[in-house]
Amino acid sequence: MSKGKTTLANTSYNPCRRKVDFALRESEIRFQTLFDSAAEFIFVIDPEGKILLTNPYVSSQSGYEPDEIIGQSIKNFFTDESKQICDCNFPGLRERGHNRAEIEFVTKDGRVLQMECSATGIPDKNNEFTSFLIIQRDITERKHSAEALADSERRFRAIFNSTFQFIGLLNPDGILLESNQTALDFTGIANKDVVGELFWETPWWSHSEREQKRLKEAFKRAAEGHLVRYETTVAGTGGRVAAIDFSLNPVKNDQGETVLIIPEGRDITERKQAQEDAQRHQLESAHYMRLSLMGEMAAGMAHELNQPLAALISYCGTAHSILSELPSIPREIVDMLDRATEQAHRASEIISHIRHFVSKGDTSKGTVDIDRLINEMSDFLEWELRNSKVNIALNLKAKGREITANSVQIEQVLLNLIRNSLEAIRNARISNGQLTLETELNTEHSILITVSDNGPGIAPDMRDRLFEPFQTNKESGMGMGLSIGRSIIQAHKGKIWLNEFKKNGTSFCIELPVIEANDPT
Amino acid sequence: MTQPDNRIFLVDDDDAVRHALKLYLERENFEVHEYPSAEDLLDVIDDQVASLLVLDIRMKGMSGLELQSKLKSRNIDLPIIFITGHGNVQSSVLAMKEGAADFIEKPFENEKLLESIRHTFKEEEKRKQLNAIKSALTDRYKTLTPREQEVMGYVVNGISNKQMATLLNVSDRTIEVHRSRVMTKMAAASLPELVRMSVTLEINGAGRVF
Repeated sequence: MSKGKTTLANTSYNPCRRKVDFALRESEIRFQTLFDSAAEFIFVIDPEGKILLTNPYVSSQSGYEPDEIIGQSIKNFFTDESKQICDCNFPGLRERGHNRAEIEFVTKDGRVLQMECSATGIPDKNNEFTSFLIIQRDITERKHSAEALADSERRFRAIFNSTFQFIGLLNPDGILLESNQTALDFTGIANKDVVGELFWETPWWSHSEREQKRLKEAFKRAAEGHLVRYETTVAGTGGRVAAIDFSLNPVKNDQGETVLIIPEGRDITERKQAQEDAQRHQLESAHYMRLSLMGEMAAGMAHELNQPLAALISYCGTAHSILSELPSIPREIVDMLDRATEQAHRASEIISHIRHFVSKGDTSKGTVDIDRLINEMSDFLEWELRNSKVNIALNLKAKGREITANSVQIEQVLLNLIRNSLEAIRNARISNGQLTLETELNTEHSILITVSDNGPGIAPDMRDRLFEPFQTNKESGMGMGLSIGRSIIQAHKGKIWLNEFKKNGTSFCIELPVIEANDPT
Repeated sequence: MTQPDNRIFLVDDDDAVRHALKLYLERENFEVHEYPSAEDLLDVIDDQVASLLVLDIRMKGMSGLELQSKLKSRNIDLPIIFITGHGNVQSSVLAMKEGAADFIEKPFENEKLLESIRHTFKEEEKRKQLNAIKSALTDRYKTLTPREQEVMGYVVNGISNKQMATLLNVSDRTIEVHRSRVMTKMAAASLPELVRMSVTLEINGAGRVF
């Protein structure tokens, strides 16, 4: 045993001296080695907490020399909080003989070390604890890391849950580990409903088998380490479905294996709606352009057709004069000439109406008496109706109230509806076809126009998409009529809809605001 | 040069229209010269003289409206009746603003054209007569001395002799003499007639003819 080294053997406590020396010595050597080389603080204290022994590590780490420590209460080296912890734990320690706690040790130069402290009682020959062995492990680093981790975790959570996008975490088998609050709220579900489930079996995808399938396939690729991105839809509360820009982003470890997959969704419903609107607008513009071209053609055609008609009428007139001056007037021939002239005039009127209908027209609005407009239109319709043997009834009760409208456009919408009715009646070979045009004051502020027929009605599967472009069950026709019709009515701040309650036929309703007494004109 | 009062120039690029209208108008005793284009008409217009032009608007090459404008710039003042196959409101308004006599849309009854032609001729006649009268009155007015013209201006505005005397700083008698000379030179039988003459001549109170 070297001098200067504090050992149990040198202290006044030497309970084991009378035991077998050899065994003791071995044990002592073992203890000594452990004691000297441990990278932990080791103290022996008395029941009051006075330090009897310290190991070299204490000095090297705390900066205190042994003689500054030995004889002191161990609590002196603790922070105030730790002193209290110590006081609390001591009774338990004395009773049970062991205790664990976390305390804070203050070094000589004022640093605070976080320590995990374990205390064990050393029994004497009477099995009473006369001293305690205190081993303290420095967990400052560990605690800092833990705090940093907790901090990081908090920050992650904050971002994770407050982003407007849908984010989650999946394991490489497709099991959902986490979902952010936004995604949960969107579908009205809780974490526990989905965590642990296969992602494609969660409620977000319950609306479409097709999207589920796509997801599974996309996931397979993501699990292999590829970033996958595509547009899909997810189910929300109240049966709504949102279009999302969806991606699966694999996270790899240092070995290149995929350990996590991050599903992310950005709601693009609005963007898609805008796209659809733009597309529809484009289609309608193209259609208008064609109409405009037609208008030009029609104007040219009208001019061309009016030339031979002019010559025809002039010739007939002259022939009529010549015949009328004959001594014996051939009445029959004169009569036929007059009829021929009449027909030529009729041809001219038809041309005029066609031109009027496809004219480019300007978009300016004027004051329109809707009853009058419909009356004028019915003249134009007469010859069409004569052919289809359909009876038209007018029930106009708008009492002369006027709307602010582009009369050509309103005519177009009504004519479109009427034509559709006539065609439907004709195709269904209904013999007593009836078309009814009604107007009435809907409220103080609006007029209701109804176009009804007793045709075959509209098929249930067409009803949803009635006003979308390219919806037609006709052989000819582009199916733009109702789509454009709706645009026109909307531009007039009105509404157009299919009357769902009409049985035995079809009925379309148009509501338009009337000019109020105090409207600026 | 006296203009024949029944010579019509007809310009339309459609052969059938020209033929049919010429047939009809000749039966109604008009002398019809037909041209298939505005350019063809312009080639001969200075040499030939007509009373009236029946013109299509939309033709291959120069349009009827362009022709109207060209004739104006050449100071050829012929009444024009436009016949047209495409009733365009803007064209018709423009044509009338530029001084057309009438505007008819094809197809039309023969009689309609006839009526329009007759009416136009009548109006032309009236216009010519009015111009002749104006011309004669202007000649007479020019024979008045400046003082006499001044007096005439006051007289037709109801200024009394006495007032005139004061205004012109002469005697009543002088005024009476001036007045008498005015009536003689203008060949007006009464004051009202003199007033009518002054209206035709568009004289204002200060004796200036516009």
